[in-house]
Formats: sequence, C-alpha cells, structure tokens
Amino acid sequence: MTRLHLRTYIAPGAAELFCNVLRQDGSYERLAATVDTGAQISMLPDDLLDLVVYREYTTITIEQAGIAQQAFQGAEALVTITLEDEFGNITEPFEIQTWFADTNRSLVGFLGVLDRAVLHIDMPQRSGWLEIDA
Amino acid sequence: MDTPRIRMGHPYGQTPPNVYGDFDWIRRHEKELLAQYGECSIIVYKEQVIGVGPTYAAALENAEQNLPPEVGEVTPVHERLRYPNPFSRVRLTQRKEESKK
Repeated sequence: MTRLHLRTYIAPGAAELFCNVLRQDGSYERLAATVDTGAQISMLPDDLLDLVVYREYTTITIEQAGIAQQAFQGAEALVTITLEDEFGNITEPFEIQTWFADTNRSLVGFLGVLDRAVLHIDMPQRSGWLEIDA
Repeated sequence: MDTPRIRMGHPYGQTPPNVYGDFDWIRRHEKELLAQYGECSIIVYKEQVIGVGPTYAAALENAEQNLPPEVGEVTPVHERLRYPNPFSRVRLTQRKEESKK
C-alpha cells in the first residue's frame, strides 16, 4: 500500500495529488489532479491524447448532470499512470480507464483508483491522504 | 511534447523538484493568472509564467522563445487556465464502439 499526502485547498475547496501519465516517448507527463468522490471515472484533458500512450479507445458522449442539452463528445481509453505526492511517495505504474474531454481539470475518480483506496480528508487541519494498493 | 530546452516529461520516479511548488503556486494564484492572461495555456517554471498560448503546443513554443539564450534545460509545468464552470459534473450518456489505435 502506498500512502500519498493530499494537498488541500479552500475557496474553492479541493484535495489534489500529482498524477503522471505515461507518454509515447516513455516518460511521464505531470499533472495536478483533483480527487473527485463524485466522479465514477477519472478524467483528463483531451489534448493529452496526442501525447500519451492509450489503448481500447472509444468515443463517448458525456452530458453535464441534469442538463441533457449540454452533451458533448469525449473519449474513453486505458492509460498508464502513477500517483505521487510532494514527499516522494509514488505508486508503481498502473492502468486505469479514463475519459478524455475538453476540460482543464484532471480528476481522479472511482474506477480503478478510489474504488481500491482509503481516502482521508481533514479540512480543519488542511490535511489528507490517499492510501492505495498500487 | 517538448522543445529543445523544455522537458515536460520525466522518467518514472524522477519528478523534478520544482513541479510540486509550481503546481501549488498556480493553484494559489489562479484568479490573478486568469485576470492577467484570460483563458489559455500557461507554462510555469519556478513560480514564473514563462510561456502563454491558446494551446499547450503554442504555450510551449512561446516559452522556448522567451527563455534567455544562456538558460539550459528547464522542467516546467503546464496549466490550462479556464474560468470555473458551475456545471462541471458530467456523466456518460452514450458509448460508441470504435477503435482508433
């Protein structure tokens, strides 16, 4: 199990960690990702599709919850990531299913990540951690 | 996506030390950065914006041009600046089987 320190923010509130995505040249693209307990699946900006290694690509339609007219196109694929914190704790590379969409935020969601992790957030103390078997 | 002097990727376990502070600096200054640059891509290195552009590639190219000649390899971070969307929660409505790669 790897325990990763989360960075917590207020106004707007968020808990973040670092997500590295395997690129086509074998190195890792570095991203700051928000832990999103409302996300069934992780999400990355779609401009990364030209850069990262992915497989099992599928186009999808995503709608903003409760606003059926605001559907937009995205993609779903498997990518290899590592999660990391500022103290040098890092997971082994592992593969997750993710959505790629026209977004500026990288989100870490349930499928393949939070569904195998212990999450602790203490906002009064501005601290938190994610412990994951990876 | 790199330029001759800008490395946006790193080997496993070798994250450059500036990365953590630079992402934190962006998050703490996001409103000011949006007010100054608007919605765009920015390249940040050691708490300084070194490149701006409408896309990731354009911002990188701008950063490469802005680097002084005496500067060697740098390891900045990239951020996509956008005004917050109040309806950011999304859900899947359709999946189309299609193989691209």
